This record gives sequence, structure tokens and C-alpha cells, in this order.
Amino acid sequence: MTSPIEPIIVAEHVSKRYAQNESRTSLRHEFNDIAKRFLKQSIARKPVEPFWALRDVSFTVPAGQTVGIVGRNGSGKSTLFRTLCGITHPTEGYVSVRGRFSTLIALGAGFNQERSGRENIYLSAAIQGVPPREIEHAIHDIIEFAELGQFIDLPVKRYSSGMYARLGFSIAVHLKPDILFVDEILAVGDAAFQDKCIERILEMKASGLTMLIVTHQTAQVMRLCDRAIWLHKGRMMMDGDTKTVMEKYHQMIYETEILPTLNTPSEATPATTPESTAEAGPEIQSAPVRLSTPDAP
Amino acid sequence: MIKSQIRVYTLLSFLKMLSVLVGAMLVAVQTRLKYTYGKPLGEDYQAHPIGLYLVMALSVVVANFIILILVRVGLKLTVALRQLLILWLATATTTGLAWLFIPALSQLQLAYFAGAAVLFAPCVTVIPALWKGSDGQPISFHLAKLWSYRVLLLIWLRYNILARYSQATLGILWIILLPLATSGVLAFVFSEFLRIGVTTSDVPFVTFFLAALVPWTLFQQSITKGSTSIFNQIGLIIQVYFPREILVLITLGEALVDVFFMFLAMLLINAISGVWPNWFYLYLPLLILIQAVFMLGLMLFLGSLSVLVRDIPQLVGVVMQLLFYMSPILYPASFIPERYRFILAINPLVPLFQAYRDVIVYAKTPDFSTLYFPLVVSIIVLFMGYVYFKSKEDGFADRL
Repeated sequence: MTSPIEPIIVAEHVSKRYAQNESRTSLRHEFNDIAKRFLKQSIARKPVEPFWALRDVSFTVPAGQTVGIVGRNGSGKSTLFRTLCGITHPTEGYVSVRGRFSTLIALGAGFNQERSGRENIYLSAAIQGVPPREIEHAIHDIIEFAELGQFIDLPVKRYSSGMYARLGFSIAVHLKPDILFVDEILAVGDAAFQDKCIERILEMKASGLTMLIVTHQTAQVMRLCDRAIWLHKGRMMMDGDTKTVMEKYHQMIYETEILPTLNTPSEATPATTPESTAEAGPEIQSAPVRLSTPDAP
Repeated sequence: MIKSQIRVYTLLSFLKMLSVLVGAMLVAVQTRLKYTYGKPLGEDYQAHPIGLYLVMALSVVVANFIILILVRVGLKLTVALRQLLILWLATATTTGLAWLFIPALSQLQLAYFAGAAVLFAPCVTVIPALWKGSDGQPISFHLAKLWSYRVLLLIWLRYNILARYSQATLGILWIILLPLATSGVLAFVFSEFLRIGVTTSDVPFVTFFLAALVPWTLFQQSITKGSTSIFNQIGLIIQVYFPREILVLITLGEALVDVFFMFLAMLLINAISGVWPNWFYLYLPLLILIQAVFMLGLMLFLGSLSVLVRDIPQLVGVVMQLLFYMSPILYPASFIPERYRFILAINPLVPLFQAYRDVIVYAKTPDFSTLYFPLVVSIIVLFMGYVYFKSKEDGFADRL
């Protein structure tokens, strides 16, 4: 194990830029552009408005610490995660993650719909860089934790969304990672299973796991995290112990969001962001719970 | 695990150096045969005796040792420069030893060899090292990463293939039925209605046609599916990190398996028309390897380009249609009038199809001097395709 003082995650002045027009990827657009430039050379090309999803974010995480990342929608939390996981590279700055990491971002991403749950355990582990022989001994635990029983040998296309997510969660926590990235998915399955997930995460935390958690649920941040980082519009607003950061964060939300609506009580707009309405699965009853449905390829 | 990786790496770099020397010798032989200055070549002129290849292997080993000792003594070199020095040293040793011990070899050819090898050496050592991916890491780093993910490739490929063939009840049968039907209809139409009849009337048209249709199908399937392989997996790419070229490699693997069944169907049809498998089939892996390298390069290029320009797959479909009729698949290359022969000369698939036909239909050794062009084109296309893919890889998650 690495010593706890040595940082295991380092982000130095990380910035990520997205060009606004990058979604135009058809030949028609290209030809249009070329034609326009030939015909009207005086008209210069519209300057591209860059969008900075992250701007000069720096922090280090020592091994064994659990860090919560909070912020409004679109504050760059997911982009930060993708940068740390190596899915995209920062436009500027430098990121280093030492050790094996596992992601609880997309549960069941890369599952082969036609194959059984058991085979998909091997596949999912391999996608995260763990060869089959290292997961062999944990197979039994994974199936038991996911509460799949005899269903494990059915093709995953027959699974309910809850079973699908439970299996994904179970695989990710059994890969023996050094670092765990958790993005808004501690809301898997029913209440009992959720408790089990939190228990498991606390257990792993006790055994020295480093964690980064993105969530909108304040209770979870307060319960799990030693430290919180607050992102706002791509910039780091605060970095400190959980309680102080969360207080400031809620104060800001109250001042910018709730106060104006209180002053003009014409519309009954809910202060909580209604982002999750479409995604709630049939078996989830409570309102703020969000089930991340993985995109089936 | 690390130790085995180092061993594989050493072996690969040894093979790389050896192949540079062999390639340079092939060029020298061709040049010498085309430009016969000086002493005329006798009847018993041996272009490349077997001893020469042993000398080359020995030279590479010796050069490796010399540079290793120099590095131990304290010579500071980057990996690329070290390999370049080894190659040049090996070239000098080979030339010297061959001049001393293989008198049958023309000295002019040795000069050509040395010139070619000295020029080729930087192409495989320094130039790839200078190139860096979009994340600033050299090519060897990316290849090592891909190697560490080899298990994923195997598992993924296996499950995809199993899933595909278990889905339909007739599974494999469909794959065999399609070529059977196509070749049956085409053979009937071309031998009964159009009556062109292949000039070599001793082989059945079906056999002649299938020998090129099977590799063509491999080419068409790989390129068509390869060009969509990246953006068909959007959901995965934006969520998990893994070397993206695995997606392309899986597509290639699936196409190879599909075409293997088609190959079996071809053997069946050939047997019905009286053409049996022969010993020259041992050359087929070599031909498939050249073709696979070529296809992989194109797939990497087109796959990453399709992410940026979404019309590419449609364009590929059209080009494939045209290419089918422009390549000598339905007809022998000799049917093409002299003034249009240049079309054949620039298409690296033509010598390959010819070689497949030589092996499958005529049961003879393929003409290696014509295979040199597809081989070189394939390697260049693979290198450039890979470099392009790696330079665009970072953008996949952002663009999709």
C-alpha cells in the first residue's frame, strides 16, 4: 500500500474546453463552409465561442480519503470525472491517478445483451482492466451480493433494470480497486439494497479505499465524505471539510435560487431541479432517487 | 507479467530489425534484376540464398550485443537511437559477412542492399518514436497499453461471436447459404447467358470466381463494418476507458470468423466441381496476413474519420460497389485492355487476388515479386491509419 500522506490523485490546473460547433460533423456542413468562404471572402468565419467545462481546477487526494464533489448541474463534475478516468484528456493542465480504479459511473456499460450474467461479469471486469483469473475467486460473492441467485445464467437482456444495475454495482465493488469513482448512482434498486450498497462502501472506506463521490444528496455527502470540493461553472469554489463546504454551498443555492422565487411567488417552480423525472424506473417510488440506466450499445 | 512483456517486446524488436533487412534485400534483388549494370547475371545466379538470411539474423544478434555493451559502459542513448544504431551496425555486418562468405552474391546487389537498409532504418526506429499521440505519449506506450488489454479483446470477441451464432437457429448455415446462392447465380449467368467463359477453360468458372470472391467479401465486410465500429459504441466510449482500437480489432476478428465459414462453403463447392484442396493452401495464412494488415490500417483510418464526418459509411458503401467491378473478381486480369492496366497497377488488392487464385485454383506458388507492392502498401497504410486513429482518439468522447 502507498503511504496515506502521498497523494494518489493529482489534478494540476486542469482545464477542459469544448468548441461549440464541434457537433457539426457532416460533409454538407463542410461544403457549405468551403462554398461560403469562396463566394464571400469578405465575410470572415464566425469566431468559435469556446466553452470551458473546467477551468483551472487543482487538487490532490491522499490515499484513503473520501472526497465528495458537489455543484449545480453543468458545473463540470462529470467532465472532471471523465478526465480523471482517462476518457478524455484535459485541454490544459495535468492529471495523474496512481493505482487501479473502478468506476461506478455507468453500471453495466459494455454488457453483452445476449450472454449470461456470469459471462458478463468476466467481460465487465476485463473492460475495467481486470483479467478473468483475478476475478475468478470473487464470482460467488458478486452473484450473492447482487442477489441474482439462479438468474445469473440468464441472458442479461431478460434482466429488469434493477437486476442490471445491481449486477453492475456488485462487479465494480468486487474488483478490489484502489480508487473508486462514484457518480450519482448510490441509488440502485430498492431501499434495502441501497442500504447494503452504503454499508459496503463504508466497509471499503474503512479498509483504506480512496473514493471520489459526485452526488446531489447532501445526506450522502455528509455521511460518507471526509472532505468536499465545490465546483461552480467549471471553477473550484471551495475545497475543505465537508460540513463547511456544504453549508456555504447551500447558502449560495438559497441566495441565488430560492430567495428570488420567494420574492416573486407568482409561479410554483420547485427549487429542486427536476432533472430526473424521465429516468425513474418503475420500481422506484421515492421522488429524488435517480436510477442511472446504462445506454445499451 | 512484466517480465513476459519485456520478452515479447525484445522478440518483436528483433523481428522488426530482421524484417527491415529482409525487406531491403528484396528491394535490392528487384533493383538488381531490373538494372543489370556491370557483370551480367549468369544462368545460376542466386538472388537470395538461404545462408544470407542466417547471416542477417546473426548480424542483428551481434549488433544487439555490441550496443548493449556500449550502453553498459556508459553510452547514453534513447531507445529509438539505440535501435537505429543496432540496425546500421547489423547492415554493415551483414554486408561484410555476405561479401566475405557468399561469393555467389553480386556485389552490386549488396551495395543496393546496404543503401536500402540504411534508408529504411530511420523509418522504423526514429520516425515512429518522434510521433506522439494526442496525449503526448509515444507509439510504444500505446502498443504496450493495448497489449495489457489483450484479455478484454479475446473475451469480447468470443462473446460477440457466440452471441451472433446462437441468435438465429440456422446461424452458421446462413453464412454458408449466401455465398452458395451468389456464386451459383453468378456462375450460371456468366457461363450460360453472357458466355464470356474464362480463357483457361480447364477450370470451372465457379472455382475461379470464388477464389477471389471470398477474400473480396472479407475486405468488404471488414471495411464496411470497420467504418462504423467506433460510433456504434458511443454509450461505452463516453463512460469507460479502454484502448479504443480494440473496437476495430473486434470488428476485424468477427469478419475473419464469418469469412472462415464462407471459405468452408467454397471448399464444398470446389469439391463438387472437382477441385480439391492442395498443399499450396499453406501460403494462405501469409496472404490473409497481408490483407488483414491492409484492412486494419484502412479500418482504423475510416473508423476515426467517420466520427468526425458522418457521411463516410455511406461513401464507403458506394466505393465498395465500384471497386467490386473494377477489380478482377468476375473476370481475369488479362481481360483488361492494355491502356487501362494502370488501374490494376495502383490497386494493391489485385496482386493479392491473383495470388489467392494461384493457390486455390491453379495449385502453384504465388508470384512473390508481385506481392511486394501490396505488402509495402499494407504496412504504410497500417502505420498511417494507426497514427491518425491515435491522434483523433481523444476527440471520440467529446465529439460523439
